[in-house]
This record gives sequence, structure tokens and C-alpha cells, in this order.
Amino acid sequence: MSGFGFRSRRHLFDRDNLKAWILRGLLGSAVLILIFVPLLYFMTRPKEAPPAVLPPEVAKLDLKDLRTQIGALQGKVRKLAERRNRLFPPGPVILVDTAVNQIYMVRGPRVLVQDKCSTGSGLELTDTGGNRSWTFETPRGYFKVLGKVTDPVWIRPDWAFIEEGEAIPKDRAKREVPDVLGDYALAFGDGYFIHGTLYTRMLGSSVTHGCIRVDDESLKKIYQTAQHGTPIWIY
Amino acid sequence: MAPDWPLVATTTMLLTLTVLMSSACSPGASRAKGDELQQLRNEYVELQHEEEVLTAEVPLAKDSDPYLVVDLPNRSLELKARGRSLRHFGILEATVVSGGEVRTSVWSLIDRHPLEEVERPKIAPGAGEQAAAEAAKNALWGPFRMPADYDLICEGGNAVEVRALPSETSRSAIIRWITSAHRRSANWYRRWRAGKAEQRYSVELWLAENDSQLLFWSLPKKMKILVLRGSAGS
Repeated sequence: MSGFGFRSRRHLFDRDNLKAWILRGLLGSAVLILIFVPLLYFMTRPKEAPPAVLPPEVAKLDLKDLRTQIGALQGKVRKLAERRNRLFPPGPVILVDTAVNQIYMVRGPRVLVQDKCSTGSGLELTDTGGNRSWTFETPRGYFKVLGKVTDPVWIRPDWAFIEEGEAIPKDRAKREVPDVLGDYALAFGDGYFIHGTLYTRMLGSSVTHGCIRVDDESLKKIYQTAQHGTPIWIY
Repeated sequence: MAPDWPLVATTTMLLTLTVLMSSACSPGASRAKGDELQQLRNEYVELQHEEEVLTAEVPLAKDSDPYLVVDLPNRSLELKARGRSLRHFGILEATVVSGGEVRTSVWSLIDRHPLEEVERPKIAPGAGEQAAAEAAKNALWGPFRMPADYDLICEGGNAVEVRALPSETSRSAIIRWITSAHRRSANWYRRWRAGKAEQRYSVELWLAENDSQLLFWSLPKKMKILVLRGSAGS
């Protein structure tokens, strides 16, 4: 075939032509690598922190002035730090680390209780009609003990019936389940509690519907020490 | 009376030696003085920063809600409540993306915007609590399932953009470098596509991937963020 047009398949893949194509390919790749790798490197290299710039007012100070100013600043900083540290409640405080499922009760620098707990599973349940859905998550932030209950009775919410595939009863008595929340429960709002559990083997895992489950012994100490208004930080 | 030449010679030699020694020592002495001055200046700057942090933090610590301290000069991130640290993270890199120099200020978090949505594991109605417990036991949920790249949208159009780099302990160095390059390029492309930033102030923080996920996991829906001053090159 003459003129421009398609070359025959045989011509395209003959030995010399193939060599030339491979050579061109290699050359092209090398050029691309030479251009893009340094570009990518400069674009993505970690940025160092800039050196601290000395404020002009500090540069003017001589040794004596600096020492005086540093002494004054140290005093201010100490006072401010003391003021801030005093803001942490001196009484008992409950801390819940949901990432590792640990509960702490502290008083100032002293740790009164440290134990495994179980927090929200993060699962999502939607009812068969698709109208309502629940996310089983332990809320984060600041809470306080709003109520203390001994021998708590679980009032099963709607999701508990949906989860089990049971019909939701209208009679409140049919929702009451004793002996599943342990000996004590501490309410911290919106239906969330710190309570005991039958599933002690699950402690340390995220398995609950949002409540915080604790081992009986630790729960007893927490219950006895906590008062109405005891702060709870969940993070 | 003839001078005691040996005594004069010895005294002269001693004096010369003293002068020579003192002149030899004087640059060292001035250097030592210079070093001390520099050390004191650094200490002064550090104390000034600490004072600034505490002055800004005390009003926040008066409230019981947890707050986040973004320390741009020291590259640290701390979740705190009433002045006590709950979690602490190191910032690998910090950049003020828009708005120029950020002054020490308190921002109010109003929304968290993950760049990629994370789908929650679901349980079907009738599956039973045991099934839910089993699903949870199989570690379907945890900080490791949280988004690594997200924006913390604050009132007044400010934003803290959290981006993740592979953690130091994860994978081999070459894989980490490739992953980092990919993430940085993707972020660069995303920014380029978004065009001019709408935010008044926007701070970009690069954290280790597990830190970034743990931070997302720990944050309440609404909170105060104390941003400690930093400039575009922070």
C-alpha cells in the first residue's frame, strides 16, 4: 500500500520497528520520570517548621533586663497555671476513654478506679418500615451524674423489640426487665446509664447500645463514690 | 640603685602573658555571653508563648465542655477538659492555608465534614442482641474505621482541615513515602479544584493517620477550638 494509511501488521511488528518503539518508549518513560519524580518530590516533601522569629522588643533587651523580665513572666505563668489547674474539680470525676473502653474514676491526681468497660457498638438499626433508625453510640463530651439507682430495672425501648424481631408492646409492664443492668446504675441523661452487665466477657469491647457497662466490683466503688452532679467526661 | 633586671624581665613576661591570655580568652567570654543571651531570649519567647496559651485557655477551662487546643508554633494538638489533658497528638505539619496570619483566637466547631463518608455497620431487625454483640466483637467499629481526612467547620467561616499521613509504624518506608506522595498530591488537586477558599481562616494540619482517626472518634459534635497564633509558614 502506498501513500499514507495503515501500514501492514507485518511492517509494524518487524524487528527494527519494534526495537525503535521500545527505545522510544523507554526514552519517553525516562523523560517522564525525570520530570515528574522531582516535581512530585518538591510538591510533596515534608515542610520543616520555620525557625522561631525573635520579636523586636525581645532583641532590644540586654542580659539584665531579660533576667528581670523572665523572672516576672515565670511568676505570671506559675499563677496562671495554678489558676487553670484549680479549675479541674477537686472531687471525684468519671472519665471514659471509648477508644480503648476504659473507665476511670479520679479525685485530683489520684486514680480511685480504673477498669475495662464496654461502650457503644456504633451499629445502625433501621426498622422494617425504614421509618426509624437508631445508632448505638456512646455520646462524647461532658455529662454529669443525674441519678443513682439501686437494683435498676431495664425499661426496654422500641429498638430492643425491633432488634429481637418482637412486636412492640403497649403495656409498660411488658417492657420491664429486672436483673440485667447489675446492682447499680448511674444516669447521665437521654436514657444513657453507667450500669452493670451479664456479659462480663464482652468488657473491653464496643458492644453496647450506647450505655457504659462496667464490672460489678468497679461499678460498686463508682456508685458509692459518685454523687449527683459528679462530672463525667466521655472521649 | 641599679634595677633588678631579672625581676623586671620576669614581671614584664608575666604581664605580657596575662595580657595575651586575657585577649585570647575574651572572644570565648563574649561568645559565652552571647550564648547566654540567646538562651535567655529563647526562654523569654517560650515563657511569653506559655503565658499567651494559659491566658487564652483559662476562660475555656472555666466551662465544663471539652475543648481542643491547636498549638501551631509548638505543633501539638490537645483535647482537654477543665485544663486537664484527655488526649494529646503531635502535628506533623501545619499550614495556614487562607487568611494570612492567624491570631490566637477561639473558634466554635459547628460541623465535622469527612472527605469520604464512612459507612456504619448495620444490623437487620430481628437479628437479636447476640448478633449485634457478635458483629461488634468482630471489630466492625472503632477509631480505625473513622475518616482520616476531614474538615472541622467552625463559626464565622473558619476551618481546621485535618489530613493524614501514614503512621511511622505502618508499612515499609517506601510504601509510606508513596502513600504520603499520593495523599499530598490528592490534597493539592482537591484544593486546586476547589479554587479560592471560601473560609476566612483555614488551617491545614497533617497528623499521623491513627492520630487523625482517633481525634475524629473523640470529638464531641460541638466544641470550642483554641487556635494559637501561627502564620502561613507555620
